[in-house]
Amino acid sequence: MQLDIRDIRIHYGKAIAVDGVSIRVGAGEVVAIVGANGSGKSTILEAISGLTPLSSGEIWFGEERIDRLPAYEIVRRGLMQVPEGRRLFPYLSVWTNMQMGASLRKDKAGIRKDMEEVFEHFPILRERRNQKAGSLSGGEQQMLAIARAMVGRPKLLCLDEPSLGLAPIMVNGLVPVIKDINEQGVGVLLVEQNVPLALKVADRAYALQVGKVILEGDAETFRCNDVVRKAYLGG
Amino acid sequence: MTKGGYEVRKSTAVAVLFALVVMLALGALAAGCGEEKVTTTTAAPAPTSETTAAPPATEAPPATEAPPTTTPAEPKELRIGAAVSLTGLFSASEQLVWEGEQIFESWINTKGGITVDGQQYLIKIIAEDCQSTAEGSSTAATKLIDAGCNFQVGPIVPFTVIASGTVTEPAGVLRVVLYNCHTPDEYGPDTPLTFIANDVTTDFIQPDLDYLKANYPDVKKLTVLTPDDGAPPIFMPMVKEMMVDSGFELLNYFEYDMAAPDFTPYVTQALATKPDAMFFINGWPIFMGNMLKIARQNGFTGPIFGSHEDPYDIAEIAGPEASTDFYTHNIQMDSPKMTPLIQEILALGQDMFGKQSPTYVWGFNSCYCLVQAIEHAQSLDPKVVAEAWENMPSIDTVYGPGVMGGLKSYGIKHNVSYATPFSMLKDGKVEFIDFLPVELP
Amino acid sequence: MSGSLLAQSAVNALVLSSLYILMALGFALLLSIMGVVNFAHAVIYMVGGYVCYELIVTAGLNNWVALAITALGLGLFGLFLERFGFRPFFGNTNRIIVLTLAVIVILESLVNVLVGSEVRAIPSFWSGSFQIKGVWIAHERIIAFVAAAVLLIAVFTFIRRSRTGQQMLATSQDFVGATLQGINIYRITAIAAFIACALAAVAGGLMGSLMFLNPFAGDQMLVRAIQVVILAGIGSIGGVLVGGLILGVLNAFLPLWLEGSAVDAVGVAVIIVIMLFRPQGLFGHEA
Ligand SMILES: Nc1ncnc2c1ncn2[C@@H]1O[C@H](COP(=O)(O)OP(=O)(O)O)[C@@H](O)[C@H]1O
Ligand SMILES: [Mg+2]
Repeated sequence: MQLDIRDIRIHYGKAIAVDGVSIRVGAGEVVAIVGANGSGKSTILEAISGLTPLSSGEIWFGEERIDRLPAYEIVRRGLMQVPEGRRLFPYLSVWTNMQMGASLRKDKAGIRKDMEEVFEHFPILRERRNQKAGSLSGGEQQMLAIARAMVGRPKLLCLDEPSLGLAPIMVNGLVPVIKDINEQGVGVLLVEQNVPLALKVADRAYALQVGKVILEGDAETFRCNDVVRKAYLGG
Repeated sequence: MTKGGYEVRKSTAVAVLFALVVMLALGALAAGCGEEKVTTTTAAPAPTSETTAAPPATEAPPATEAPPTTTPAEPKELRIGAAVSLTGLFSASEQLVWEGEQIFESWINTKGGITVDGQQYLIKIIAEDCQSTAEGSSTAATKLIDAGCNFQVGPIVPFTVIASGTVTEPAGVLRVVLYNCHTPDEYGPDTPLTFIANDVTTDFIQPDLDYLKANYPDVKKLTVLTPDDGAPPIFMPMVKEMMVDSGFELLNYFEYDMAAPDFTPYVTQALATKPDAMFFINGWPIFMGNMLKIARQNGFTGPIFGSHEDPYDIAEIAGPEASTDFYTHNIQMDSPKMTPLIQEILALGQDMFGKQSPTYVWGFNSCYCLVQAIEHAQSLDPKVVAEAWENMPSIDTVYGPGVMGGLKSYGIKHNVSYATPFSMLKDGKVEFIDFLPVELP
Repeated sequence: MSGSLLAQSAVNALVLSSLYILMALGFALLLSIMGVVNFAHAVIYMVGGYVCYELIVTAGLNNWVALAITALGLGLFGLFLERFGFRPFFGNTNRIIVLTLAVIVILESLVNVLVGSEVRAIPSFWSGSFQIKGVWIAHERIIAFVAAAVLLIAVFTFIRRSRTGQQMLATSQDFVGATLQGINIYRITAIAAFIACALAAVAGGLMGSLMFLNPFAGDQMLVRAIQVVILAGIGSIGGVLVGGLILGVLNAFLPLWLEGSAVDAVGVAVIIVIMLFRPQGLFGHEA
């Protein structure tokens, strides 16, 4: 098991945002977390990346417990995240933003090669590589956020609602991107409100409601589930 | 470290900075109209209740009628307040003044203090910090009164003197200020309890002009640099008159901001008037020393006269190359021509503080004259002392014999006048020239 | 107003500006990277002046060696301040303000008690002066300007060209984003604190020889550093160059027409007017 989230609870003050959630991602697996706004999806990803402390429970990555490590140490172990809001560096160029993704890498040649590869995925970023990140369109910014993480060569990549704010055509474009990332052996934990998209790429999924997992299973289970169909798949 | 915290932090930072800009603006404006403001600072801060006002020494009943030779009574303590800026822009030199006052305390008590009405008093000098501000000075005066000081020495800079006077005069405290720049609120008929025991602003001008005439016959055109402490508009007409009467031309005068980041703009303007000699009237050694350096760096080779500022400190700031042809009404510490008392003060300074400074002599002198007046009056009532002091036919100063003067110049006869020491900086060294007679009508 | 007076003032403005920028850069770095309003910044400047003086006059070191040691020493103090002052209270603006005010009080009092009654200036780095076309220029001012400029070029090159420098910029633009790239933000904040304090110390040493030392000199310098940063815009490192230049020009030229402390009042008024049109500062990233 690559990522093992064991019965975690997270509070904001007295309010509980995540209530006894367990989620597992196997090596090379694509796992989705779906759920309505405010159900606690982003909070879980923040906890995984060490940005938000747990009230109880444990998070393991490979053979190591990571829930007390500083955020940059978690990245060092190969777990990266494309966070909600993208968190690009708006006054740095596209190129430099991508370089930042490789902050922990020392192999200059390797980084260059990977940048080239990422540019193959997102040709528009190559065109705009000298432009400031803040001046890109929403879709381009989302691409850049993903591209930046890819240059970091993570073992596991968490994506927080990559489809948010994208035009429908671009949303469809995400599918091959995620698949490609996965084909390189990278595990993916995908948080999405766009359930059809999630189910297109995920091997397994978890449905979250007010901080609790209410359904888990493979993509097929989800597609057949009445609740999911009614709530997310348009009947 | 939580996710949202960062933005919150930054916006708070921005808010704090905005608040600061506004405060800066108000502060700068307040400073800009400083003189008007200080005169109205009559409301003295409420006396702090935690100061357990020791029974004011002045109210102590005369201990005994018997002459002290028969039954030596217990000596009592007479408290004198020292209002000095121990912090802030003026602190460096004013701390030296305070050290000079402490030297006096030690010196007078070694001699057995003073005797008033048969009672022996040892002197206790208590300092309060004027913080180089007007507010600090009125607060210091109040605190000193709370501490039982009916006699005070200090402060020095005009706006601090004015602020302190708004407290001491109504309270009936006799005050010896250490300087005067001729603003009426500082010192005059409206401050009947204020005295000055040393030469001040305009006292130096005539001897300087006489010296110029005798030693630099080619010098005709003069330019003045002086702090913008509110006083120049008042004393500059007098200075100009003296200059003109002595056959010189005053080209212009420039007021500098004592808190300026750099005095170059002022000095270069003064030099642009092409003077033969310059007068730095008033201001501390840190400012004058810096201006002297800048003047020399900018090619000015004429003589410069710097009121009475400490030539050693000026040379320290200006550096050896620039420290030449600079004149000041101050002493050369290792000159054999110094009075025995000056030599004694400097030796005491070496013992007590491990160093010597002309400023010690200045601080010492005010206390020295004050206690002479008290002993002369044989009273601890400030009003009685003031009246007696005014009418003293002569008074001793650390520089030599002095007389009371100032009635014509200031409207009160509260200045101690004496032959003023005159020294010069030459090739980085202080050289004593002479004691010059000062006439103070 | 003669041409040579204006030329003289222009030279002077450059010297003042370079020292202001040296001061404000560190202040801006800590503000934009850590969100720390380091009120103690200028007290480091003041202490830097005194340390430099002691090394030169008491220890008898060469001026430049002394200046380098001063920068290093106060840089290390910056590390200490960051590690035990800013980091534990990270994100708690109130605590950090109280802390920096405490540092001011402690250091000012300490210096005042130790050397308060000493009137001092650091011996000139290069005495004498020369004249071109009627304009006198003091060697020590040229050397201060050159030293400041070299340091600024070095720091800006470091920030713009080195990987760590880029990470500093990234951290200042999105702290969480930087963390998620694996950037060790504590390493970044420590380096920023070191640079900030070292630069302030150098400014203190240079200014202490051009002007004089005063235990309370930091108070005024803090105000000027804040003015520069406000002009530049919070978050803009490059804007500090322009902000410093503007303030230097104001301080060098305004006294030609204004008397005394009116200079400061007008300087602040100019800043307020600029803020009215550009509340985010000239180059501010944030409104
Ligand atoms: N910084 C925060 N402070 C307080 N409450 C928060 C914070 N972030 C999220 N929450 C609350 O936690 C719950 C889960 O939020 P989140 O994880 O962002 O949900 P999702 O990503 O599924 O939309 C919500 O009720 C939200 O209001
Ligand atoms: Mg979310």
